[in-house]
Amino acid sequence: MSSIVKLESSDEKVFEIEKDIACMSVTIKNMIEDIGESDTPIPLPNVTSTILEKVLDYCKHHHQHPSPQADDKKDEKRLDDIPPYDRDFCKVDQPTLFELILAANYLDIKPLLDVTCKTVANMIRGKTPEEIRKIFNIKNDFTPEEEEQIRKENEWCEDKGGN
Amino acid sequence: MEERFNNESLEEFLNRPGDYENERRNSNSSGGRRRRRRGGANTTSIIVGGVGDGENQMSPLTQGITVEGFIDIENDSFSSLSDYSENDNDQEISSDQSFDSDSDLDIDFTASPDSEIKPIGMDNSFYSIHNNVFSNTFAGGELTDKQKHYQQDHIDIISNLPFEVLAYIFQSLDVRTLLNISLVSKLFYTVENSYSIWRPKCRTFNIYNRDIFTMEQSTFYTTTPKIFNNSQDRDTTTTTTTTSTSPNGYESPPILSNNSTTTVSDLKSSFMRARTVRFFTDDLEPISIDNDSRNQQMMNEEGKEDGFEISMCEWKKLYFELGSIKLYGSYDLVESGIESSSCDSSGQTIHNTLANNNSFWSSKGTPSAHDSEFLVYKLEQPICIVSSVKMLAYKASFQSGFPIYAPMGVVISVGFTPDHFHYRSQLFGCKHTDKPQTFKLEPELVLGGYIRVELVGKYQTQFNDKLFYHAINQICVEGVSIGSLDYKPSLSLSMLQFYSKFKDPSALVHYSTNNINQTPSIDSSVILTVDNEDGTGNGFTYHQILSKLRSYMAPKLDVERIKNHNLYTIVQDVVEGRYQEAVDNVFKNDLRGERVFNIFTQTTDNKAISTYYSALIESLKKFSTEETMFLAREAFYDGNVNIFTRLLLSGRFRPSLELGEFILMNGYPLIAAEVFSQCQILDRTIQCLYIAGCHEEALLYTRNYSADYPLDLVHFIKLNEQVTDDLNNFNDGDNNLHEGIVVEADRVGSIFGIEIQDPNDTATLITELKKLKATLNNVKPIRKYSTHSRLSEFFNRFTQISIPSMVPN
Repeated sequence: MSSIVKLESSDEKVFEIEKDIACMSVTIKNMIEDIGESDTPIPLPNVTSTILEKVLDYCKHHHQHPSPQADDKKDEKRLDDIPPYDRDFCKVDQPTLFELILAANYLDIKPLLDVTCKTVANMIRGKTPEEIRKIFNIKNDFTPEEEEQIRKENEWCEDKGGN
Repeated sequence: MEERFNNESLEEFLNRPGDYENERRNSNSSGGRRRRRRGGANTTSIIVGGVGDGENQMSPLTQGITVEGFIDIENDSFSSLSDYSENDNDQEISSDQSFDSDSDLDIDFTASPDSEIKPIGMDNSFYSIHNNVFSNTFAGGELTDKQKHYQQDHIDIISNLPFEVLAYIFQSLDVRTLLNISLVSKLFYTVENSYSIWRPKCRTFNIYNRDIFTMEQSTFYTTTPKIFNNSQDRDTTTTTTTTSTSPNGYESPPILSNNSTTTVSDLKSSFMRARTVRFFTDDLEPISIDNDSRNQQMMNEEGKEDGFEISMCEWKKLYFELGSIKLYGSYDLVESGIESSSCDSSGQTIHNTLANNNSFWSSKGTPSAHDSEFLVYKLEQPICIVSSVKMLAYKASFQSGFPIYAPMGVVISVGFTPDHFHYRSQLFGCKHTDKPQTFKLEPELVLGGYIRVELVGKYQTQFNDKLFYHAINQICVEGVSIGSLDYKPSLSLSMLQFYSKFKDPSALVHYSTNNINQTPSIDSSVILTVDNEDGTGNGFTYHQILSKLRSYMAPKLDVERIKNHNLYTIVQDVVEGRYQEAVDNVFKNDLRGERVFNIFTQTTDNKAISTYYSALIESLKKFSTEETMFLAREAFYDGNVNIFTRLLLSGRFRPSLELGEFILMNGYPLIAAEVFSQCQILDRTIQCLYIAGCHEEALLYTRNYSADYPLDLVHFIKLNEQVTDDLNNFNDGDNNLHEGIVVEADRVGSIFGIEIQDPNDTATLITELKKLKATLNNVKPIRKYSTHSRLSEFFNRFTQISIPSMVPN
C-alpha cells in the first residue's frame, strides 16, 4: 500500500489518492520527486475538480487493470484499438472531451492523451471539410482563391500517389 | 510532442511554492509579450484574457513553441466573441487592467487558493475553455436569444487547442483525411501543413504501420480467359500456363482470351510494368527552410499579424515524392564489379556475375562452413536508390550431383565509397538453391553509389578437395539512380544534401571523367553558400550538380525511350495482325527478349508465333532458352520430334537442364542425353544413356570426361539392376569400376553400324560417330505433321527450308 497524495484542483477541491495512481501523471510524479512527500496538497491550477475526478477515475481503472502495453512500436498510431473502458470513458460531450485532452496533456498522462486524441481523430476521419466544420463549429476563413490553391496542392499530392 | 514538459517553468514554479503572486507575474509578462505581438488585430482585452488563459494552462508545455501564436491570430471565433461582448456589455478593459480588476470577466491565471482575486460567478471552471467562453461572455446575465444563437454557432473548441495537441490529434489521421482537413480552415491548414505531421510520416518507424507499400502500375487483362470451344485453341491453354514465370520474378500476365479482345494496352502491359514504391527514410531532410521555421520567423517579427500563407510544407512535398518512386523491375543498376574477397581462378572473377549466363565467380576454398566472402560493385551513378538485390547462386552442372555453392545468408551494405558503407542491412537468410533470391531493402530508402554483398556461411564443399566455396552466377541490383529519377526536386536535392555529409558533391559534376573517387571533403555549408550566391564560386549549386547528373543519364534514358517506342509499335502491329512487320522490327532492332517473346506467345492467332519462329530460323541467331523451351513443348506435343532433333543437332538451341528434363519426361532419353551433353551436364547425359539402355555409350562418355571430372559411377549403377548387370558383363571381370573402364570400340561401333577392327581404337569410333551425327542433320523428316500445334504453320514451312548452318558463337 503506497502512501496517499493530496491533489488540489483549480476550484480548491482536494482529492486524496494513492501515490502510485497519482504518479501515472508524469507531471505529478516530477512534482513529488522535486518537493518530496508532504501533507500540503499539490496544486493543479489547470484542472477543474470535475475533470480531475474523471482523470483520477481513469487512472484508478488502469492502475487496477494494467493494459498489456507489450508492443513498443514507436508512435504507432492505430485508430481502431481503443479498449472498451476507454471508449466508454470518452463518450462525453465535446467540451468535456477537449478538457480531458488538455488535462491529459498538462498532467502528462500519455495513455489518456492518446485515447482522447484518437477519439477526436475518429470524429474527423473520413469526413468532408464541410462536415468537419459542422461537427466542431469551425468557421471557414478561406477566400475562394485560397481554397482553390489548396485544392490544387491536394491534387498534386494525390497525383503523387497519396497512399 | 517530445517536449511535453518545460522543466524551467516548472522549476520556477516549484521553487516558490507559496509565492503565487510571483508566478502570476510571470504569466502576466509572457502574456504581455504575446499581446504586443498581436498588436492592433484584437484590441479588446477579453480575447487576451481568453487566449492568455489558454496559454497559461498550457504554459509548462508550450513555451518555446512559437508557432502556437499562430492559432491565436487565426482565432476568429474568439475575436468575434470579444467583439460581441464588447458591444453587449459595453465594457472596455485594457489588457493590463484585466489582471487586477475585480471584473466579472477577469480570469485568474494561477488559480491559487491564496489568491485574493476571486472570480465571481465561476465556481468550478477557472481555465476551462468552454466555461470561460460562456462565463466570460455571459456571466451574471441570462442568455438572450441572440446569445444563445451565438453559443450554438460559434463555440469552436477544437481550434482553441494548443497547436501541438491539435498536431498530435492529426498525426494519427490517414493521408486522405489530412488532405481533406486542410480545407477546413486556415488554422487546420497550418497545422496539417506542419513539420510535426509530415516528418514522422517520412520516417521508417511508420513502415510497420502500413500494409501496402507498392502498387503495380500497369493495367492487367480484365477479361478472364474464356474456355476454348474449338480444338484449335486448345493448345494455347496448355502452352501458356507452363511459361508463366519469368526470371524477373514477375508472373506473366494471363493469356488473352481471344483475338477480338486483344487491345494495345493489354499487350503493352505485358512489358511496360512499373511498380510504384512508397519509401521511408530516416536520413533525408528537406533542403530548403521549411514552412514551420518560416512561420516561426514570421511570428517573431513584431506587427506582422497575418502570417497565413499557402505554401506546401517541405516535409509534405518530400513525403509525397517519396511515395511515388517508380521502379521498372529492370535490375540493371550495377555498372561494374570492383572487388571480391577472394577469387579462385582468373576465369572466375567478379565480372562474370554481371550477366546471367553460364559464367560465374568463385571464391577460394576454405575449410569452414562459417567463412564469409564479399563482393563490391559500383552502381550506375554515385547516388542511387537501392531497392533490392537479386542473387543467383551457381549450380555446377558439370560436377557430380549438381552442387550449388550458395551462401547461407547475405548482408547488403551500401555506401558512397567502395570502402565505407553507411548502410548495413539485416542478415537475409538464403536457401541452398540456384533460383533467384531477392533481398529487399525497400521500403526503406537506401542511398549509395557502391554496394557490398556479404556472403555469410557456405553450404557446399567441393567434391575433390572437401573445401567450402561460394560460387555466384549473377548479382543484380534494382533501383533508380538520381539522374534517372523522374522530376522530384525536393527528393533529389535532399539526396544530394545527404551525399554531401560524406563527400563533396561538387565532384559529381566531373563524374563522367572518373573523378569521383576523391576523399570526402568540404562540408555542405560551402555548397549551400554557393547555392545562395547563384553559383559564382568554385563549387557548383545543387541544381547544377543535379542537372549534370541527369544529363549523364540522358543517353541511357533515350535508348530506353526509343526501345519503348519500338515495342509499342510492335504491339500495335501484332494487335492489328501485321505480324511480318512486327517480327521484322524485332529482328532489325535486336529487341528479342522474354517480354517481346511473350507478346507473340500471348497472341491467340497462331500465325504470329509461327511468323516469329520463321524469322528466327532465318536470322541465323541462336534460340534463347525460352524460345527453345516453347518450341520443344510444341514439337513434343504433337510429335514433331524429328524437327526438334534436327534443330538440336544444328546447334541453334540454347539447351538447358529444364529442357533436358522435359524431353526425358516425354520419353525420349536419347534426345535428352544429347541436350544434356550440349549443356555439359555429364551426370544427366550418362543417366539418360543408361535409361535408354545405351550402356556402352554411357561408358564411352564417362571415359572421355572422367579425367577432368571425377564421376561417381556407383551412383549410376544403382539406377537399376539392369544397368549393373550390363556393366558387369561389359567389364568382364574388371572389378574396379572407378579406375579402368574398358571401352571396346568395335562393340560400340557395331551399335551404330560402324565397322572397327581394333577394340582399342576409340578415336576412329568417335570420328565415325561425328560423321554420323553430321549426316543426321540432313535427314528429311519421315512423317509430315499437320496437327494442332501452335507452331504447325512453322513446322509445315520448316520441312521446306534448309537449316542454315550454325553461326560461330
